[in-house]
Amino acid sequence: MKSNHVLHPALVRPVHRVPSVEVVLPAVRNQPSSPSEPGWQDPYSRPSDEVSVAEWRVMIAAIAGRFRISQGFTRSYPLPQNRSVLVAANDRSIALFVHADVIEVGGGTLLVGPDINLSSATSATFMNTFDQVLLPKERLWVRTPTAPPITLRVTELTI
Amino acid sequence: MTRFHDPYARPSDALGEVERRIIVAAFAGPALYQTEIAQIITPVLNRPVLVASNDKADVLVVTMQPDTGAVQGLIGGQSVMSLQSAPQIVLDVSSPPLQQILLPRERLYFQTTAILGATCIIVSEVTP
Repeated sequence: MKSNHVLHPALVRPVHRVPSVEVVLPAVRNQPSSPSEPGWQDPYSRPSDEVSVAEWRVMIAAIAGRFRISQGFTRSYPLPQNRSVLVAANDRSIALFVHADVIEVGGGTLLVGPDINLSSATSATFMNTFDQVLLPKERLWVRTPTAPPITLRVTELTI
Repeated sequence: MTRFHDPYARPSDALGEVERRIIVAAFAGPALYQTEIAQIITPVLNRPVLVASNDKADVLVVTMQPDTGAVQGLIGGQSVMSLQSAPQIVLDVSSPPLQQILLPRERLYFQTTAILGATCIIVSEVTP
């Protein structure tokens, strides 16, 4: 289990401190509050003429990751029954491709999620194998309700 | 002040040429391998075999498929592999072939763990 994660300096954005300036904003009237109203701006939308480098890297990882698993770094994690295990953490890449599969024949159900709290009702469920892409600071936890305990083989790579 | 160079980090403001070539290979590889001359590899239980080595191209797409039946094994970039240290794949004649992208100086090894009817493995290489 990994701990004491340190974000790589390349991923840390510097905080620029600007001198305080008194700003007088014009009065805003009739601000649209729903998509059905004219002039409404979706705070999560992105301009269609710009795709960030991070988005390109996520796409490359998602499409090309499986073609590079032979060159990744692989290690195994014993999964005791009904206990969450941290199997991957992205602390240095823009996009980290993770490939996981069960060593034992037959394997079983795998509950996968970004934090330690995993349940069959709220977590993604896979059988025996799965691929995931982790963004910076994201983690991958796995839990199996299967008995006897199984071993998960995890391969990580950065495209 | 020395600056640590993390081999896994990439500058966030530029998409490298290597990354562009990898994505091109990932899209084009599956459509190109059938036109290339293949070589034959005989699977031997628990013995790593060097399948391909990229010593000439920016990106090399390696395709592996059995002649018949299936074969199970480990794949990796080094000859020393185990069930705990390398991903295991199954090459099945009824499934799409396995493809891997090799960058310069990278190698692809295959170690057979189970022979399920296959008599040989067909390997082809292509540079998009």
